[in-house]
Amino acid sequence: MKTLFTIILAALFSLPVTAQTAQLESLPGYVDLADLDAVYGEPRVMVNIGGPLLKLLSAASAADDPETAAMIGNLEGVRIKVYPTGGNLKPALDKVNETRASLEAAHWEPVVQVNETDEQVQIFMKTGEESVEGLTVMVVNAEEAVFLNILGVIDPAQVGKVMDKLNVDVDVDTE
Amino acid sequence: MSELEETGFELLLDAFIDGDLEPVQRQALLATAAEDPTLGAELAVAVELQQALAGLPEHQVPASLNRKLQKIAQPESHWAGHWLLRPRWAFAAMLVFSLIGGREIYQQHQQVTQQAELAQARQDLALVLAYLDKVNRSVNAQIQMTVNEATAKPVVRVTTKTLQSQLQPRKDFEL
Repeated sequence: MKTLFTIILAALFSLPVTAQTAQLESLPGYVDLADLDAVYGEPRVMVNIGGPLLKLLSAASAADDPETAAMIGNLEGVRIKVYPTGGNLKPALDKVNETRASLEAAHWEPVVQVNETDEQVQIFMKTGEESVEGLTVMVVNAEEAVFLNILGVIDPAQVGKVMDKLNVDVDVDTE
Repeated sequence: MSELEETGFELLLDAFIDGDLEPVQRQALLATAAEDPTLGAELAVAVELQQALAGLPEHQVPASLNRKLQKIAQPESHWAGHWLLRPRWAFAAMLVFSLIGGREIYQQHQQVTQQAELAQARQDLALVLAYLDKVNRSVNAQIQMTVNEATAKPVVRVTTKTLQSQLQPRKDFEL
């Protein structure tokens, strides 16, 4: 069993990143995250985790924590790009508006829209016939522009709990 | 002289001709030959042969003959005859052991790499969830504030009206 697990892992890790991205692109919850490299430089944070790896993470957590394993197992992909805006909001806001238009055209539902002077938040959800297929979050403020796309089912109420269970220190200002 | 003694004497004679005998063995051989005429005669022949050989000029052995001589099978000792020590088998055995060892090292390396990549995926997932949690908190705070404001306004309006209506007669009275 351990050998099989190793072989599967080896096969997965040997998959090129482009193959994993192509696999994600075919899913209905996929959103082409904004490319603002030309404006803000390389993203401060960029994560792209495909479904197979998430399934393995789920399997690895199953024995210790079934609840976390179930939550991770429902995910098909997790992607994020975070750019430092340095107070230059316009390019990021333009990109948010552009993405919002394409999401609405693709029948994504706006869940939350916050239009404050110092921060804009857009949360969209894509629902299929039976379940949630994706969640897209865009946040722009004077510090950063966050573009987040989760493919699969996620319950926002569980996020904090799962983070605690993952027990990983992350450098994100949650204040 | 028994057959065994004869064989032993022949070996001693060979060693004597080759000059391989220790001084003590040489003395013993000469003493024995002095007592036994047959052995003495044989020893005399051996001495003559040794002297004749010693008198032969040294010739360079042709390379082709040298190669042929080297190809003549050597007497096999217990270990020298062992199949594992024959060149082709030794090479094959070495190759197999190398492959097994290499496979073990490769698998260990793969496992370490995969564990590291799983840990990295875990860290990445936690980071994405941390951003989602941050947005959740921010949005919840915004919603709560908006709801509070929306609720507070009518309450303030009603309260103000009530107070105004109660204060009106008193103003009339003062007027």
